[in-house]
Amino acid sequence: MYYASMSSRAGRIDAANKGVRHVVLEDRLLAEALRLYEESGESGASEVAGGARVSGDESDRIAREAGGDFEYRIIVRAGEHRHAEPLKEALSQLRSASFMMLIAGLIVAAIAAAATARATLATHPGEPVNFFWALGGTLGVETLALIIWLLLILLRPTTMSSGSLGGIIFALGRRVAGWLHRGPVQLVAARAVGLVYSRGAIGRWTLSAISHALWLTFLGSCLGLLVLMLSIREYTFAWETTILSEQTYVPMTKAIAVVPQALGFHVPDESEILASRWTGQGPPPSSANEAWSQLLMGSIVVYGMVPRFVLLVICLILRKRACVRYRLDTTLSGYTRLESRIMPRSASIGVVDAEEEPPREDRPAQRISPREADGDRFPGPVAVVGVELDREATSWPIPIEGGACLDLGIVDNREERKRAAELLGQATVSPRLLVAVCSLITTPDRGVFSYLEKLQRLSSLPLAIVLTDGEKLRRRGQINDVGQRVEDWRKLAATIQVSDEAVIEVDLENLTNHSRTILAALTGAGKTKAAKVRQIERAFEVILANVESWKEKPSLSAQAELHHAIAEVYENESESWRRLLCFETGFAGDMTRHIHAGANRVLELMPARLKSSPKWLAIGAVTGALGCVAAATLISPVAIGALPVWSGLGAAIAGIVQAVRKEHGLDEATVTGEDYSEAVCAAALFAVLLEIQGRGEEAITRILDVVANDDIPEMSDPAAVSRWLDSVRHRFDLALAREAKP
Amino acid sequence: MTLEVLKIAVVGHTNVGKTSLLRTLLRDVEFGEVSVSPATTRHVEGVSLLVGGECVADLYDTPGLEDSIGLLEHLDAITGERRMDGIDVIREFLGSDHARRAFSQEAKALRQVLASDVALYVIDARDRVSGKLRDELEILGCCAKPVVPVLNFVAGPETRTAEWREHLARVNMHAVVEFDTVVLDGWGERRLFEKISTLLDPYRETLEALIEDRARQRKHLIRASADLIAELLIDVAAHVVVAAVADETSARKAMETMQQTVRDREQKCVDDLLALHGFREKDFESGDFPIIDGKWGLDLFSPEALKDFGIRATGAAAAGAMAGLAVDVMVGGLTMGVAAATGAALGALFSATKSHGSRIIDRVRGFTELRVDDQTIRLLAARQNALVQALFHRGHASQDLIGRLPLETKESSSKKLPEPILLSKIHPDWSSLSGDGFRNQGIERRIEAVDDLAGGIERRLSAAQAGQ
Repeated sequence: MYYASMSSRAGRIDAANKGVRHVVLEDRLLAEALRLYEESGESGASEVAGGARVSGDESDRIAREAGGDFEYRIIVRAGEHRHAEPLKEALSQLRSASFMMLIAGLIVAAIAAAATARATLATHPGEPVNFFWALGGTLGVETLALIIWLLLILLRPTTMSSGSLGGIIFALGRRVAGWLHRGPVQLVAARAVGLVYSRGAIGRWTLSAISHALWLTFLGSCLGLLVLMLSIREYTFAWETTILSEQTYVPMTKAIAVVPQALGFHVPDESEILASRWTGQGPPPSSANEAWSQLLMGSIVVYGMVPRFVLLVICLILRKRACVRYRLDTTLSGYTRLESRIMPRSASIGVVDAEEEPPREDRPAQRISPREADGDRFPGPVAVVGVELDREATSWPIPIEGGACLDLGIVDNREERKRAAELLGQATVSPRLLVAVCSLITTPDRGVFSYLEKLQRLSSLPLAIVLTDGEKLRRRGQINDVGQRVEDWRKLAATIQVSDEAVIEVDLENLTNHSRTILAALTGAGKTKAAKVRQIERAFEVILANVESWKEKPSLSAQAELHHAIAEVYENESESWRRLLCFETGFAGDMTRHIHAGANRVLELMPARLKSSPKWLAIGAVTGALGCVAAATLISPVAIGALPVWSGLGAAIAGIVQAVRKEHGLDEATVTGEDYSEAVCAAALFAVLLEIQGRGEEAITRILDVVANDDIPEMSDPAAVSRWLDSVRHRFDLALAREAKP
Repeated sequence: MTLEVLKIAVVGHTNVGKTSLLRTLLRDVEFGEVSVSPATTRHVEGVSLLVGGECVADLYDTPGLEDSIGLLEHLDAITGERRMDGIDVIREFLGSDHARRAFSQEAKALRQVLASDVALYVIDARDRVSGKLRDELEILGCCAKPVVPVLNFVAGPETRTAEWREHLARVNMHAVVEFDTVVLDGWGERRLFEKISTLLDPYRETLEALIEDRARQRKHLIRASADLIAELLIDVAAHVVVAAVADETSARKAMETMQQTVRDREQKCVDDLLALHGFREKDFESGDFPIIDGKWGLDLFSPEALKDFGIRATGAAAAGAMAGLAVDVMVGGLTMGVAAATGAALGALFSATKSHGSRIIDRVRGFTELRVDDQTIRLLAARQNALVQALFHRGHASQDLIGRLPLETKESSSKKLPEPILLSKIHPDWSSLSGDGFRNQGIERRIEAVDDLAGGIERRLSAAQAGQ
């Protein structure tokens, strides 16, 4: 079960289901030939180059799916390969050529044996056949060869090759096949056969078996002719000696005769042996010719044919065993390089948890350019935070020229992050710019940016990112990566609406004049800044345009429309001013609660002087409440439907005003005029707030203190409104100028 | 034997080399996508490690834990005042809406850790032990799975291995492995599997099988590389161009042809080695081969030629003598050994003409041989050796090009070349570069020579591998 599941997952057909082929030596031979063929490709042999070295994708695939071990897959691949057929043909040509050579060899052996037998028995007329000479002639060379073979097989079994008779037959076979069929395929086939058959056990036993077969044929043929000649002609056997005595010859002959006699051959006895001595003269002794000839034949059988036959059988058995045991050497480079193709080390499971686009919260497009941090107009310090910098390797804080610096420290963990955020929130002088110093060594990640976004949201400051440590990154040997890394930071910065020009690479450890200038320009300390686009004029125009459409004192819903229009002017900064109004989470839940919070927030920001004025108190509450309404409607127009009815809203605002008034000890009844003044004041206050948001709370209060004067003139026509707005703008500029002074 | 399939999740901060680790473990330069940019992997991708075609381990590549500080804060918020086990907090988080929104990447990684048997936490050892990485470890520590920290990029300068080890010990992670995915040291992988094994006893057999398989592969790779180099060297050493020296243009042309042939042959070897080690040709910047010097002259009487001649002549003479002896027997011993002696002489002569006959004839005809000189062969060997070493030390995550091959060899020219090379110099038929491919008769001896030489190279390569 395990196998099945595995294999189906690995995308292959289980070998067991498909039926494993029975692999024989021929298959391995083919694989070997194919390996050689593929290896020979492109290496000089031009005619091979065309055909070989194909990747054989189809056969690779079949082999992969065949399963089994590596060798099996190699064999399957070879069998399926498109060069398999020509190679098989070449191998079979080779086989038949070798077989022909073997037959030829056997015939030659038979003929040679006949010649030997004749030569052995040929004597001068009147002379007997010398028995020992005849024995040596028939068995001598054969026994010598046998001894050499035995020595070789016992002492150096690996060197059984070209020298032997079998080797000669084999080489001849290949030579003949080479003559008959020429071509690269035949060449590699011959090499493959050479590799398989002339090395190792198969070669050893094959060649030995051929040798034994040849000698067996030789001896058989020899024996046959001897029998024939002895049958049809009269021969006399004798033995001669010059230096040896009868005492040597008799036991020797008897020793030779022991085994043949045991097998039933008639052998000469002692007296016959003695009688058969011939001294070279006189008539040859003819006492025991039949016994002598039987001993000769018996010796050939016993000392020649039987051992050869036994050895032939043994060699064939060993050869068979070697053939069965033969395995491809899969460590050869030709195979090893196939491994990744037909025996993959890995199988893809695929994507298990796909990437999905996370539902993005709707974030209004907002681009805070650090250019807005004009050092002249906004004299506050530059808040600097070091994000995940190496404390030991960084000289902190970074040098910010031409301005005060609010050091938020290096943040590396949650506690430090919190502390930095607190420092930023508690700043006595509101900073004009937030600079995050990051190391190029670290890869930008969402973690850093969600923190930076949080800081930016808390402070409503424009954010600039300074990327340092470029040199260290280069020193790591990642010279080419620096540009890419800066790109990565910019890409992530864009997700929190920080523009590309606000992300600069300045190596703070190796500051140059140029990089100093860049840094100064970024932090607004230089003179190369563009003025911030003031929107208050436009906001005031919006107020005036609305007033002109009014026929009577505007209703709350008309006022809400006006606030909405003003909010639209500052729409691209809506996130930060929503925060200022404590309306950052978007529209959710009880609207009345939000309105309450917004009203209170504006009242908090107002200077104490205004809070003691009932009129301003009411105006502030309306500004905050309608600001929240504007924010809500700006985020989603459908939110209007969720608003309490306008009368309910009015009651809520009145309730707030009442509560605040009590808090400030004012209990006189509200004097509500019939003119536009309250609505215009509330709208103007809203516009001013939106214009100066992003500064610290204290700064906001200071500016409001200057802008709002105690007595509000009666405004019953657009001209009066316009006049009053002009005076407000004048005071606003004055306030900004005061703020700009150090 | 059925092995337990081990599930491994590879986690870590963004861009520390998670995918690289997988590529190196898989020996697959094509797996996933690797870049210097962060968050390259945004999904969980699985791949099985096979041993002998059977799956033994599933590896999962996960997206980076990018906002660990935020996530841990969130997890702490989930816990609140309750007493909860880390794993329950993680489970609650994974079931929550946040796991689909702000922390979707982190959730993917954590989900995979929970589904796996072990997590490999990849660390860029050049990084500081920063707050976010500490938080990552703390989050992983809550997953109730064994975590094996893997220190990547330890081979470079500026590593903070000691610092990391100290911190890891502090958070109770002791089975730390140093494993550079770009610069391999040969044993890193084995140590990695062994470390996992110490933490996961039920999978010991699986991991042992894996280790064994990897060791076997490595051995085969060494052997196969040695084979390729030996083939190259024999081919080049045996390569001979026959030309008339007297004719200047034909001599120059012969030299140029030979140089080109040798360059092409080296390129083929380089390609084969790259393919063998699972790299692409584009990973290698092949510099120009330095000067290939040729050597003119017919080396008929070099010691090797004489020695070889001696051996072969002896063999042939013995064969001839045997044949003569047979003749002797056939004629009834009338020649009394004359036939045997004649056979021996004929055999020796035949052997000589067979192996050197055409060369002698060439000489008579006024042609001479041009062959690659010894120093070039030494240089070829040194270059391929350097390439193989580089390939063995190259992780499959490496993005850089393989450096150029050495242009000179330190080996002194006085040092004797290995025997098989000397032997091949007198056997032009051993070279696959010479025209019509191999001739048959030389094959067995050529195979022996290649084997012999490859054995030597293999020993050298293994020694170099073991020595590091």
